[in-house]
Amino acid sequence: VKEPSLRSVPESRVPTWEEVARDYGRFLYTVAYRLTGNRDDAQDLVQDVLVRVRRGLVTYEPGSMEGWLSRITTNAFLDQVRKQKRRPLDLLAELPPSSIGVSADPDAELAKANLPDDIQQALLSLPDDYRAAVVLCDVVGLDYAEIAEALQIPPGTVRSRIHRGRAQLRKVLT
Amino acid sequence: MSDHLDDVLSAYVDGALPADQQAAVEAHLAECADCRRDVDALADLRALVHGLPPVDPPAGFVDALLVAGPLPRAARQRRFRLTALNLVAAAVCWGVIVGTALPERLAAVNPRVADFTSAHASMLPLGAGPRAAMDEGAARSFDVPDRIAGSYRLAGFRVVGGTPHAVYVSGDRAVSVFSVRGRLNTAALPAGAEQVTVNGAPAWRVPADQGDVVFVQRGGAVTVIVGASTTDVLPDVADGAAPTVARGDGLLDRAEHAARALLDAFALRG
Repeated sequence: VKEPSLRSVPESRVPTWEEVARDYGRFLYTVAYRLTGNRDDAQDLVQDVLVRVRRGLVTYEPGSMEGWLSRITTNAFLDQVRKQKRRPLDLLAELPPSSIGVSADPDAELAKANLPDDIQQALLSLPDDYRAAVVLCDVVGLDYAEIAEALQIPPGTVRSRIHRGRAQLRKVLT
Repeated sequence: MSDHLDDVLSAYVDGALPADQQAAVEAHLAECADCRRDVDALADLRALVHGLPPVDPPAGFVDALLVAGPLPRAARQRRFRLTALNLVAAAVCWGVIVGTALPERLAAVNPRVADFTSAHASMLPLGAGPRAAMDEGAARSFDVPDRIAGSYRLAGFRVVGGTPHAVYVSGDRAVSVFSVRGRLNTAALPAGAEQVTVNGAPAWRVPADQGDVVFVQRGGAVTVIVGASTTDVLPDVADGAAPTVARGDGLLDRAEHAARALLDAFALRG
């Protein structure tokens, strides 16, 4: 969902919230929708991000605007879900690896006809932390180091969250 | 396959392994059909999620944000979003249709200052007892607040021509509150009308013999407040170029709130 052609803000300064809303509204909304899975919460999340940008609560690091915005979006999302509910974050981590390993269902083949809605629903079945990592990796396209920095977690944790997330997606989608 | 080869494979698919590990995985894949299948499946999954299309925000969402500004979550109840922001969004989308045509369809409410002040006066003095002018049944069915602004208690209530009219007294001061559906015909306001703001809503204050008459336009309804002198009833309306009544504070706000409650009740009862 990168939209480099839309960039109108020089990389060297902090964009205003209006510039972010105007130039990256679709990008923000896409990331927010992939994280929340519904339009109301996605709109809420985009507003949260813009409030953070407007209040200067976030430090702009010259570089990828998408990377910066997706980092803010993901953290706003995780802050919110953590406030809303005490969800067991590592429910899957307590299961034996074999139960979620990608080899668990050797004959199943990933359905080729998965619709975006099915994939979105599968994403929503992931624990929030896993979904955040998968969205940053596969939707936004950040590399592992960028994800580790965005989520403030060690690189090894990034790797396991992405893998566990994908393993669960595979189970849900096959 | 070792337990943690799993996440190595995912990282391999992402090209996130150091070169030596990348080579080791490739060597293993050459011999292991299970892991090759896993790698294929992981790559497929990655491609599926990566291939998800961008999602367009609802029409007008960004434009409405640019107009209204983003709201902190604490100040943003779902109900508010469904009304205010979506209305702005709709107005941005539909422009003239929602922005002007709909309000124009509302009945014009003419600022008949004399009628409102005489209706107010007709409830004063309030006969033999404090509730002499009270239509108890109607007041119950309209769920009229018993008290506003702390010391002002409900002293009279009636419905005339479909317009709920409540009178509140405190000591020797009295205030009438009317609710009328429609849109204030501001062009017909008498000279001397002063524009003020109540909770962000446009309002007009007109000096009259029986005290001030204040018209507040809120949504599709006009609240009319008739009171004693300005200093008694509208103490919170500050003098100055842009007088404003602070949100949720002061008699005027509470009276207006009461009037809206009347109006809502009225709408529910048909």
